[in-house]
Amino acid sequence: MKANVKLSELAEMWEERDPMPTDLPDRVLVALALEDLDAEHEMLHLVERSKELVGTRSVAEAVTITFAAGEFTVMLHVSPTAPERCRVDGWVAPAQPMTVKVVQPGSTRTVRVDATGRFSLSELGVGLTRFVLLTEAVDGEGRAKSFATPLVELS
Amino acid sequence: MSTTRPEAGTSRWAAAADHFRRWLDGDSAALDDLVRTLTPVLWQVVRAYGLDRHQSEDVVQTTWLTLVRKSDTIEDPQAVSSWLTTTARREAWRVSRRSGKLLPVEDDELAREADISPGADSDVVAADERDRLWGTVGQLSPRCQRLLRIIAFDDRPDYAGIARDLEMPIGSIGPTRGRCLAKLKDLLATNSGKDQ
Repeated sequence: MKANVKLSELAEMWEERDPMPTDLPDRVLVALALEDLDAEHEMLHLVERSKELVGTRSVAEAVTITFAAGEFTVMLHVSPTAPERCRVDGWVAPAQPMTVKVVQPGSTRTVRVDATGRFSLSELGVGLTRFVLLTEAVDGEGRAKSFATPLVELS
Repeated sequence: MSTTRPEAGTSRWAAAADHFRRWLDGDSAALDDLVRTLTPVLWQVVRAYGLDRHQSEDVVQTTWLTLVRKSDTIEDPQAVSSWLTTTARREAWRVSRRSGKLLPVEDDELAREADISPGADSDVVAADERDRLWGTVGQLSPRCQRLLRIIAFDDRPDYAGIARDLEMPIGSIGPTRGRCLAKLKDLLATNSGKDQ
Protein backbone atom coordinates (compact mmCIF):
# COMPACT_ATOMS: atom_id res chain seq x y z
CA MET A 1 0.00 0.00 0.00
CA LYS A 2 1.16 3.51 -0.62
CA ALA A 3 2.73 5.00 2.44
CA ASN A 4 2.12 8.68 1.86
CA VAL A 5 -0.97 9.88 3.65
CA LYS A 6 -2.66 13.16 2.92
CA LEU A 7 -4.43 15.14 5.62
CA SER A 8 -7.62 14.92 3.56
CA GLU A 9 -7.47 11.12 3.77
CA LEU A 10 -7.06 11.36 7.53
CA ALA A 11 -10.00 13.75 7.72
CA GLU A 12 -12.10 11.31 5.73
CA MET A 13 -11.08 8.49 8.03
CA TRP A 14 -12.01 10.40 11.19
CA GLU A 15 -15.36 11.44 9.76
CA GLU A 16 -16.10 7.82 8.96
CA ARG A 17 -14.86 6.28 12.22
CA ASP A 18 -15.98 8.91 14.72
CA PRO A 19 -18.89 10.74 13.11
CA MET A 20 -20.93 13.32 14.96
CA PRO A 21 -24.32 12.21 16.27
CA THR A 22 -26.58 12.61 13.23
CA ASP A 23 -29.06 14.80 15.12
CA LEU A 24 -26.41 17.21 16.42
CA PRO A 25 -27.12 20.00 13.87
CA ASP A 26 -30.84 19.81 14.73
CA ARG A 27 -30.07 20.07 18.43
CA VAL A 28 -27.81 23.04 17.81
CA LEU A 29 -30.60 24.75 15.86
CA VAL A 30 -33.07 24.17 18.70
CA ALA A 31 -30.53 25.61 21.13
CA LEU A 32 -30.10 28.68 18.93
CA ALA A 33 -33.87 29.09 18.65
CA LEU A 34 -34.23 28.96 22.45
CA GLU A 35 -31.42 31.43 23.00
CA ASP A 36 -32.52 34.81 24.25
CA LEU A 37 -30.01 37.03 22.53
CA ASP A 38 -30.89 40.05 24.63
CA ALA A 39 -29.95 38.31 27.85
CA GLU A 40 -26.36 38.25 29.01
CA HIS A 41 -26.11 34.77 30.40
CA GLU A 42 -22.99 33.31 31.80
CA MET A 43 -22.70 29.91 30.14
CA LEU A 44 -22.60 26.87 32.39
CA HIS A 45 -20.46 24.00 31.23
CA LEU A 46 -21.12 20.33 31.51
CA VAL A 47 -18.85 18.84 34.15
CA GLU A 48 -20.26 15.39 34.56
CA ARG A 49 -23.13 13.22 33.46
CA SER A 50 -23.75 9.90 35.13
CA LYS A 51 -26.48 7.32 34.94
CA GLU A 52 -27.89 4.99 37.54
CA LEU A 53 -30.52 2.30 37.31
CA VAL A 54 -33.74 3.07 39.12
CA GLY A 55 -34.58 -0.10 41.02
CA THR A 56 -33.33 -3.45 39.91
CA ARG A 57 -36.21 -4.31 37.59
CA SER A 58 -36.59 -0.99 35.98
CA VAL A 59 -35.07 -0.20 32.64
CA ALA A 60 -35.55 3.50 33.21
CA GLU A 61 -32.45 5.34 34.22
CA ALA A 62 -31.99 8.36 36.40
CA VAL A 63 -29.30 10.77 35.32
CA THR A 64 -27.27 13.23 37.34
CA ILE A 65 -25.91 16.15 35.35
CA THR A 66 -23.52 18.70 36.84
CA PHE A 67 -22.81 22.10 35.32
CA ALA A 68 -20.42 24.77 36.48
CA ALA A 69 -19.22 28.28 35.71
CA GLY A 70 -16.36 29.43 37.90
CA GLU A 71 -17.37 28.91 41.53
CA PHE A 72 -21.03 28.37 40.69
CA THR A 73 -22.31 24.82 40.34
CA VAL A 74 -25.70 23.32 39.61
CA MET A 75 -26.46 19.64 39.89
CA LEU A 76 -29.58 18.19 38.26
CA HIS A 77 -30.96 14.80 39.17
CA VAL A 78 -33.40 13.71 36.50
CA SER A 79 -35.59 10.68 37.14
CA PRO A 80 -38.26 9.28 34.85
CA THR A 81 -41.71 9.20 36.46
CA ALA A 82 -44.20 8.33 33.74
CA PRO A 83 -43.98 7.88 29.98
CA GLU A 84 -42.60 11.13 28.54
CA ARG A 85 -42.49 12.66 32.02
CA CYS A 86 -39.69 13.20 34.49
CA ARG A 87 -38.86 14.81 37.79
CA VAL A 88 -35.90 17.12 38.25
CA ASP A 89 -34.27 17.71 41.62
CA GLY A 90 -31.72 20.48 41.48
CA TRP A 91 -29.13 21.81 43.85
CA VAL A 92 -27.13 24.99 43.43
CA ALA A 93 -23.89 25.84 45.18
CA PRO A 94 -23.16 28.20 46.76
CA ALA A 95 -26.77 28.20 48.04
CA GLN A 96 -28.46 31.53 47.28
CA PRO A 97 -31.90 32.86 46.44
CA MET A 98 -32.47 32.24 42.76
CA THR A 99 -35.17 31.72 40.19
CA VAL A 100 -34.87 28.83 37.76
CA LYS A 101 -36.44 29.07 34.33
CA VAL A 102 -36.90 25.78 32.54
CA VAL A 103 -37.11 26.47 28.83
CA GLN A 104 -38.43 23.85 26.44
CA PRO A 105 -39.62 24.31 22.86
CA GLY A 106 -43.05 25.88 23.27
CA SER A 107 -43.08 26.25 27.06
CA THR A 108 -41.28 27.81 30.00
CA ARG A 109 -41.68 26.92 33.68
CA THR A 110 -40.32 28.83 36.63
CA VAL A 111 -39.40 27.60 40.09
CA ARG A 112 -37.70 29.14 43.14
CA VAL A 113 -34.55 27.85 44.76
CA ASP A 114 -35.00 27.41 48.54
CA ALA A 115 -32.65 28.60 51.28
CA THR A 116 -30.63 25.38 51.17
CA GLY A 117 -30.03 25.77 47.45
CA ARG A 118 -32.53 23.14 46.34
CA PHE A 119 -35.36 23.17 43.84
CA SER A 120 -37.52 20.56 42.23
CA LEU A 121 -39.87 20.20 39.30
CA SER A 122 -42.27 17.35 38.90
CA GLU A 123 -44.26 16.33 35.86
CA LEU A 124 -41.80 17.89 33.50
CA GLY A 125 -42.01 16.87 29.85
CA VAL A 126 -39.00 15.04 28.43
CA GLY A 127 -36.99 16.37 25.52
CA LEU A 128 -34.58 19.17 24.80
CA THR A 129 -34.43 21.56 27.71
CA ARG A 130 -32.43 24.52 28.83
CA PHE A 131 -32.12 25.78 32.40
CA VAL A 132 -31.63 29.47 33.06
CA LEU A 133 -30.78 30.44 36.66
CA LEU A 134 -31.18 34.05 37.79
CA THR A 135 -29.72 35.49 40.97
CA GLU A 136 -31.55 38.19 42.88
CA ALA A 137 -30.32 41.73 42.39
CA VAL A 138 -27.08 42.26 44.23
CA ASP A 139 -27.22 45.01 46.91
CA GLY A 140 -25.91 48.33 45.76
CA GLU A 141 -25.10 47.18 42.27
CA GLY A 142 -28.73 46.37 41.56
CA ARG A 143 -27.75 43.90 38.89
CA ALA A 144 -28.86 40.30 38.81
CA LYS A 145 -26.69 37.65 37.24
CA SER A 146 -27.95 34.84 35.11
CA PHE A 147 -26.46 31.48 34.28
CA ALA A 148 -27.65 29.24 31.46
CA THR A 149 -26.98 25.60 30.73
CA PRO A 150 -26.51 24.33 27.22
CA LEU A 151 -29.42 22.37 25.82
CA VAL A 152 -29.81 19.06 27.61
CA GLU A 153 -31.92 16.07 26.68
CA LEU A 154 -34.21 15.07 29.53
CA SER A 155 -35.48 11.51 29.30
CA MET B 1 -24.57 19.98 -0.86
CA SER B 2 -21.83 17.75 0.45
CA THR B 3 -21.21 18.13 4.15
CA THR B 4 -19.25 14.99 4.79
CA ARG B 5 -16.70 14.63 2.02
CA PRO B 6 -13.51 16.13 3.37
CA GLU B 7 -11.87 16.37 -0.06
CA ALA B 8 -14.54 18.96 -0.69
CA GLY B 9 -12.87 20.92 2.09
CA THR B 10 -12.20 24.05 0.08
CA SER B 11 -15.77 24.30 -1.15
CA ARG B 12 -16.99 23.60 2.38
CA TRP B 13 -15.18 26.71 3.67
CA ALA B 14 -16.43 28.72 0.71
CA ALA B 15 -20.01 27.52 1.27
CA ALA B 16 -19.75 28.38 4.98
CA ALA B 17 -18.55 31.91 4.20
CA ASP B 18 -21.42 32.32 1.75
CA HIS B 19 -24.04 31.11 4.28
CA PHE B 20 -22.60 33.41 6.93
CA ARG B 21 -22.76 36.44 4.64
CA ARG B 22 -26.35 35.69 3.73
CA TRP B 23 -27.19 35.38 7.43
CA LEU B 24 -25.51 38.70 8.21
CA ASP B 25 -27.63 40.20 5.42
CA GLY B 26 -30.77 39.09 7.23
CA ASP B 27 -31.55 35.70 5.69
CA SER B 28 -32.33 33.72 8.85
CA ALA B 29 -32.51 30.37 7.00
CA ALA B 30 -28.85 30.76 6.09
CA LEU B 31 -27.93 30.04 9.72
CA ASP B 32 -29.42 26.55 9.30
CA ASP B 33 -27.19 25.98 6.28
CA LEU B 34 -24.16 27.24 8.14
CA VAL B 35 -24.86 24.98 11.13
CA ARG B 36 -25.36 21.95 8.90
CA THR B 37 -22.20 22.67 6.93
CA LEU B 38 -19.81 23.19 9.82
CA THR B 39 -21.14 21.17 12.76
CA PRO B 40 -19.48 17.97 11.44
CA VAL B 41 -16.16 19.85 11.31
CA LEU B 42 -16.53 21.30 14.80
CA TRP B 43 -17.33 17.84 16.12
CA GLN B 44 -14.03 16.51 14.75
CA VAL B 45 -12.03 19.41 16.15
CA VAL B 46 -13.57 19.01 19.60
CA ARG B 47 -13.18 15.23 19.66
CA ALA B 48 -9.45 15.69 19.04
CA TYR B 49 -9.27 16.95 22.63
CA GLY B 50 -10.30 13.61 24.11
CA LEU B 51 -13.68 14.80 25.37
CA ASP B 52 -16.46 12.25 25.69
CA ARG B 53 -19.48 12.49 23.40
CA HIS B 54 -21.68 14.44 25.81
CA GLN B 55 -18.98 16.98 26.54
CA SER B 56 -18.25 17.28 22.83
CA GLU B 57 -21.90 18.02 22.00
CA ASP B 58 -21.89 20.60 24.76
CA VAL B 59 -18.80 22.33 23.40
CA VAL B 60 -20.16 22.33 19.84
CA GLN B 61 -23.38 23.93 21.09
CA THR B 62 -21.54 26.56 23.11
CA THR B 63 -19.46 27.39 20.04
CA TRP B 64 -22.58 28.13 17.97
CA LEU B 65 -24.15 30.17 20.77
CA THR B 66 -20.94 32.19 20.93
CA LEU B 67 -21.12 32.79 17.17
CA VAL B 68 -24.64 34.23 17.22
CA ARG B 69 -23.78 36.39 20.21
CA LYS B 70 -20.49 37.67 18.87
CA SER B 71 -21.04 37.63 15.12
CA ASP B 72 -20.44 41.38 15.02
CA THR B 73 -16.86 40.84 16.17
CA ILE B 74 -15.99 38.75 13.11
CA GLU B 75 -14.28 41.22 10.86
CA ASP B 76 -13.81 38.99 7.85
CA PRO B 77 -16.86 36.84 6.96
CA GLN B 78 -14.59 34.76 4.75
CA ALA B 79 -12.84 33.63 7.94
CA VAL B 80 -15.99 32.41 9.71
CA SER B 81 -14.83 28.77 9.53
CA SER B 82 -11.53 29.43 11.23
CA TRP B 83 -13.24 31.71 13.75
CA LEU B 84 -15.54 28.80 14.66
CA THR B 85 -12.84 26.13 14.81
CA THR B 86 -10.68 28.43 16.94
CA THR B 87 -13.58 29.09 19.32
CA ALA B 88 -14.34 25.36 19.48
CA ARG B 89 -10.70 24.51 20.18
CA ARG B 90 -10.43 27.10 22.94
CA GLU B 91 -13.59 25.80 24.59
CA ALA B 92 -12.60 22.13 24.16
CA TRP B 93 -9.20 22.90 25.63
CA ARG B 94 -10.79 24.54 28.69
CA VAL B 95 -13.16 21.64 29.24
CA SER B 96 -10.42 19.04 28.78
CA ARG B 97 -8.24 20.92 31.25
CA ARG B 98 -11.02 21.06 33.80
CA SER B 99 -11.87 17.38 33.57
CA GLY B 100 -8.23 16.34 33.50
CA LYS B 101 -8.62 14.69 30.12
CA LEU B 102 -5.41 15.25 28.32
CA LEU B 103 -5.28 11.81 26.75
CA PRO B 104 -7.82 10.07 24.53
CA VAL B 105 -10.76 8.80 26.56
CA GLU B 106 -11.79 5.23 26.93
CA ASP B 107 -14.56 5.19 24.36
CA ASP B 108 -12.06 6.21 21.70
CA GLU B 109 -9.97 3.18 22.53
CA LEU B 110 -13.00 0.91 22.43
CA ALA B 111 -14.20 2.32 19.13
CA ARG B 112 -10.79 1.75 17.68
CA GLU B 113 -10.91 -1.94 18.46
CA ALA B 114 -14.51 -2.41 17.42
CA ASP B 115 -15.23 -4.25 14.22
CA ILE B 116 -16.18 -1.94 11.43
CA SER B 117 -18.13 -3.84 8.82
CA PRO B 118 -17.21 -2.92 5.27
CA GLY B 119 -19.91 -1.70 2.90
CA ALA B 120 -20.52 -3.05 -0.60
CA ASP B 121 -18.06 -5.61 -2.00
CA SER B 122 -16.37 -3.07 -4.21
CA ASP B 123 -15.55 -1.10 -1.06
CA VAL B 124 -13.81 -3.99 0.66
CA VAL B 125 -10.34 -3.08 -0.53
CA ALA B 126 -10.87 0.57 0.38
CA ALA B 127 -12.32 -0.42 3.75
CA ASP B 128 -9.31 -2.66 4.32
CA GLU B 129 -6.93 0.20 3.69
CA ARG B 130 -9.03 2.42 5.91
CA ASP B 131 -8.88 -0.17 8.70
CA ARG B 132 -5.11 -0.28 8.39
CA LEU B 133 -4.86 3.51 8.41
CA TRP B 134 -7.15 3.74 11.45
CA GLY B 135 -5.18 1.13 13.34
CA THR B 136 -1.89 2.78 12.46
CA VAL B 137 -3.00 6.28 13.43
CA GLY B 138 -3.86 4.75 16.82
CA GLN B 139 -0.18 3.85 17.24
CA LEU B 140 0.90 7.47 17.00
CA SER B 141 1.42 9.43 20.20
CA PRO B 142 -1.73 11.12 21.54
CA ARG B 143 -0.11 14.47 20.79
CA CYS B 144 0.49 13.53 17.13
CA GLN B 145 -3.07 12.24 16.78
CA ARG B 146 -4.47 15.43 18.23
CA LEU B 147 -2.31 17.73 16.15
CA LEU B 148 -3.09 15.94 12.89
CA ARG B 149 -6.79 15.82 13.61
CA ILE B 150 -6.96 19.52 14.43
CA ILE B 151 -5.01 20.53 11.34
CA ALA B 152 -6.92 18.15 9.06
CA PHE B 153 -10.16 19.96 9.93
CA ASP B 154 -8.96 23.52 9.89
CA ASP B 155 -9.39 26.00 7.10
CA ARG B 156 -6.56 28.24 8.26
CA PRO B 157 -4.78 26.50 11.13
CA ASP B 158 -4.05 28.93 13.93
CA TYR B 159 -0.60 27.71 14.96
CA ALA B 160 -0.32 30.06 17.93
CA GLY B 161 -3.52 28.73 19.51
CA ILE B 162 -2.68 25.12 18.70
CA ALA B 163 0.80 25.56 20.18
CA ARG B 164 -0.67 26.84 23.44
CA ASP B 165 -3.18 23.99 23.66
CA LEU B 166 -0.59 21.32 23.03
CA GLU B 167 2.00 23.09 25.19
CA MET B 168 4.46 23.31 22.34
CA PRO B 169 6.49 26.26 21.04
CA ILE B 170 4.81 27.91 18.03
CA GLY B 171 7.83 27.30 15.82
CA SER B 172 7.68 23.57 16.43
CA ILE B 173 4.13 23.00 15.16
CA GLY B 174 5.10 22.83 11.49
CA PRO B 175 8.08 20.51 12.05
CA THR B 176 6.07 18.36 14.49
CA ARG B 177 3.28 18.00 11.96
CA GLY B 178 5.89 16.86 9.44
CA ARG B 179 7.40 14.41 11.93
CA CYS B 180 3.97 13.00 12.82
CA LEU B 181 3.15 12.40 9.16
CA ALA B 182 6.61 10.85 8.59
CA LYS B 183 6.09 8.59 11.59
CA LEU B 184 2.71 7.57 10.21
CA LYS B 185 4.32 6.79 6.86
CA ASP B 186 6.97 4.63 8.57
CA LEU B 187 4.41 2.76 10.61
CA LEU B 188 2.27 2.11 7.53
CA ALA B 189 5.29 0.80 5.67
CA THR B 190 6.25 -1.44 8.60
CA ASN B 191 2.72 -2.72 9.08
CA SER B 192 2.22 -3.52 5.42
CA GLY B 193 5.63 -5.28 5.40
CA LYS B 194 4.41 -7.52 8.21
CA ASP B 195 1.34 -8.53 6.24
CA GLN B 196 3.24 -9.79 3.23
